[in-house]
Amino acid sequence: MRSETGFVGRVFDLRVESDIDLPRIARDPKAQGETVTIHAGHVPPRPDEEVTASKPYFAAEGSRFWMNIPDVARVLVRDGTEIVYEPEPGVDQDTLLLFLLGSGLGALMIQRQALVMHANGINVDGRVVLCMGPSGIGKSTLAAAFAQRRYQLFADDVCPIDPDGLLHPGAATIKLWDQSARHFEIDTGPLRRVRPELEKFDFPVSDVLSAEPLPVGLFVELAEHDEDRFDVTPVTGADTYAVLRRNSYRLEFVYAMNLLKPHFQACARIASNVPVIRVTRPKAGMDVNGLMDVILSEAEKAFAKR
Amino acid sequence: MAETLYQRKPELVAADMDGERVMLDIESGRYFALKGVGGFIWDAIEDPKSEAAIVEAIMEKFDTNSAESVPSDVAGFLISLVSSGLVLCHDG
Repeated sequence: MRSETGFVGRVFDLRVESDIDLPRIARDPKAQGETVTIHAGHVPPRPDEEVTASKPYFAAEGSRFWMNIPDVARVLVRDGTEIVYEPEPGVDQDTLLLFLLGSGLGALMIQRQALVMHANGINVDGRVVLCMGPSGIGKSTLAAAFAQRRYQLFADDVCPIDPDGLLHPGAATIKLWDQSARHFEIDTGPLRRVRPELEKFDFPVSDVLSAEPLPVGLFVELAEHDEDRFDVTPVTGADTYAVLRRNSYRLEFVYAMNLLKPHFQACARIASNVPVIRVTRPKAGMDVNGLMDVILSEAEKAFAKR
Repeated sequence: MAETLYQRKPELVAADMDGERVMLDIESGRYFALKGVGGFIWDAIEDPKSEAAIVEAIMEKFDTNSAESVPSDVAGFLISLVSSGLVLCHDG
């Protein structure tokens, strides 16, 4: 389970040093940037909390953030620079990694006061289009479709935006549900399973590794309706905050860390520079190519104005 | 004679989004939005102001063709701001 020499790689604008191999992160011994360490260690429960192993739990105190993921691990994220994990006996490495690189890394980026969005980021002509929306709306299918058309996938799931409105390339793979994989006739056999019991697979996106950070150019919130057409609605005013807020990665972590104020300010700042739209698709069927065309056309319009 | 002064709750964080004032109450996590005259009043009560001073400022700023309803509209609006916890009122 442990990597003998230690894993060094790059994720977002950070150099990651880990005692566990991180297959979803670009291995890069020369990675620059501030160093973040991921390592095993004892994670004591917070003394003032009644924690049982079977109860999922998170809490923050100062610059420390705890998570208890039953049957997986207890995790402590500290100072925006360190993720300590104490695995439960018998947990498999893929499951552990899913949480370390999802909630763990997400919590760390929130501590670093990035505006962390729950989205897929797609490079469209040098700007990132962030596709957001509730689970099941088709984010992963859409991301896979963009990849098939040779668009670069820039970040998956955890999209931390820095104060300059830049998104740094994230993990080197996107997560893809088996159904989406079948849709694109990708053979999931050789792909690493994200979690043994989940039919979701990592899909390598290797060309993202060397990419420079890119400005966010458009936020797209995906929605669905009973009509048989695509609708595009600009989101303005307070609705912008509502959309950015509900599509933030683990807003409950932001609350717990007492960072709602900088989060609000980051939303206001990015909203003054980057348009937000809602694209509503027919509920019946998933015309992924139609959806992609609508988004590309909106991106073109949005970028032309700037 | 003491008159009631209205002032924004200082702990609120506010931002301008496309001409709307959006306010976040850190304590509760709730947020609110004001636009048009509401946003103007919000700006006006950064420092404590009486209802009469607010009405006067609105009359100066806006061409209103229903001037007689402004005082009661302002009064109702201030009550709603106070009851939402966005604005404090105290005797000057």
